[in-house]
Amino acid sequence: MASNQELRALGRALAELQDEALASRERRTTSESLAGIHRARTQRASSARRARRLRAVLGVASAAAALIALFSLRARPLDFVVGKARAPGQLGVWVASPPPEQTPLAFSDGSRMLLQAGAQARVISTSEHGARIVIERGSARSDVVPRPNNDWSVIGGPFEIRVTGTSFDADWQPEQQTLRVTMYEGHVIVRADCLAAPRALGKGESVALSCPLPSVADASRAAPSAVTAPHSSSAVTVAPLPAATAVAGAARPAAASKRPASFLVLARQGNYQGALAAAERADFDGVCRTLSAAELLELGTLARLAGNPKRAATAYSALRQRFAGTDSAATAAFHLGQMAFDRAGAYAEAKQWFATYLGERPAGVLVPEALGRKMEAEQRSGDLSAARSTAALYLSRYPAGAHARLAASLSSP
Amino acid sequence: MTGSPKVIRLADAQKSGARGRAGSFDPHEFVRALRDGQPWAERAFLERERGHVERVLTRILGWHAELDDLTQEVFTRAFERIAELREPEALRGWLSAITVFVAREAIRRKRRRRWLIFRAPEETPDLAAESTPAEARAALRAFYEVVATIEVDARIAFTLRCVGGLELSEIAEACDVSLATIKRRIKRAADDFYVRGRAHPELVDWFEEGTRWRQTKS
Repeated sequence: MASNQELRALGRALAELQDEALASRERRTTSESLAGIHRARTQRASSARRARRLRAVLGVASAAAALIALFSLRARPLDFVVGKARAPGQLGVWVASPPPEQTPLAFSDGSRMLLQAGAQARVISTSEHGARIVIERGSARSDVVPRPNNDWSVIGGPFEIRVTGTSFDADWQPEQQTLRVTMYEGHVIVRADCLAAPRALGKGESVALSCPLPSVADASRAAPSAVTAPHSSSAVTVAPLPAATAVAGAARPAAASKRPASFLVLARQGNYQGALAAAERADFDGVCRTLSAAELLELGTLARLAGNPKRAATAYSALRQRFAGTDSAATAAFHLGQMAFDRAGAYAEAKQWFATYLGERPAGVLVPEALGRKMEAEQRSGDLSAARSTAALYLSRYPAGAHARLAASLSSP
Repeated sequence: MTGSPKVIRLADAQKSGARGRAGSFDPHEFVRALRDGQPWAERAFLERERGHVERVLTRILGWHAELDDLTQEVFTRAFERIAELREPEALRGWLSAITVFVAREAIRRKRRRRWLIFRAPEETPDLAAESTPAEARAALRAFYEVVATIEVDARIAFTLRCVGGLELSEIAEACDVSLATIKRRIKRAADDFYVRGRAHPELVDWFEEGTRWRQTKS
């Protein structure tokens, strides 16, 4: 805890600087300000009059419109809006919640999902009875309004949470392959290929489920039975996942003993803009030549989350060059694909990066997502033949996965 | 009303000081004149309180790019809602509450633009006078980078206390919450600030060396 004296001294010094700046700035004269205020008041008064007239007209029409809407909504898929600005949501578009903010998704039936700081998710489909939402990473609170025939699912990695009407937190951490579900109301059913049986959860319950990664030996043993992808540049094999296990506590990686660079500290606190600025001050390109593989991965991610894909690409590329063949290098390929995918029109490049990841880590933790995204990139780049082949592979491996519906639509004649 | 008393009241209003002490002028008559839309009262109110509004906005937001527009918005709302003011003696506190509300909207408006993954880098406006040393400018920028990561209401309470030097009761009034809530918010923000600020290269020096960058200013 900072001492009050420290903070007050800092505050006083900042206040002095601000007062100097305020005193030295050119500001509007009193007459100009008064004129501006009167203009604004006149405009608002005029808008208010127009609004009153409009309300009167709409008052009569709205009752009829409400009735029509009631009937039409019954048959229409749900709409949703994103963020506090309530921007219209788009199916398939990733939504990020940059720290320290929470980002709400509000559905037209009153259901809500609140992405916690740092989480990423996308709505992959909606129907009149619900929606399918994929959490790529992080935690989200879902409040689903109970309605007859509700059909909601929240997907994290290989897990699918089936919802009828309830309130719960879902937290998916791809690095640990761990899904945590905390129930507040109602009940849900969690399914996954790696679960021996669906897991039902009720009010007050919480669980952490994990599909642990196969060891190198397990993966090599599993490889012969894995499906081979008809990929253009290299064969892609996907090792089967071992059975799921319930984990009692949060398994976090041990902290590194070396003191991390200041920009990494800032990034770990969620201050991505500050972290990127600090990395620039520390000579970004030079830093890329000295950091470890894991740190370079962090640097790329912080630049990506700070909204600077160019710098992110620099870090990821340095990682791939300096640490070729490592897990981190493969993960960098996935993120490069992710960035290319999210920049409209770079699907061909995205496809290559996802294929690179799949080629380098056929049993990697990001295989389901990489395979699904590769299929989507192939479809969007017009390579339907490749998309169908990848779809067949995806369905055989992840029949209930996040991309299963798209895969099914591509596979059907 | 005659012309003469207006001149006296305007002079009194101008002399009444930046801290908002009403001095000898009658706040009830002054507020009544504002409610009546008297031009002299509006001008006096603007001249007397504009500095206070600008300081509160700057303490909270730390940037100047839209300062004139935000100040205009505060006074526009104040003139529109002056009829709602129940206690003329509390004019400044009431105006501070409107200012805090406008500042909160500005912060949220800025944050609403951030939900896209690959958003465009935002412009970073000037935070200090051109004559301010680079090191002090960097510390000022770093301070507001750190507070920008703190939850909005806690950030507002913290900056009003830490930079604005307001009393807890004044902050509670401006934020329209209880004293206990304000204390909790400030503590939460101070804890966050201390942890994040110490990790910030520009601020860690300040924490460790006290007024280092202030000394280089002269």
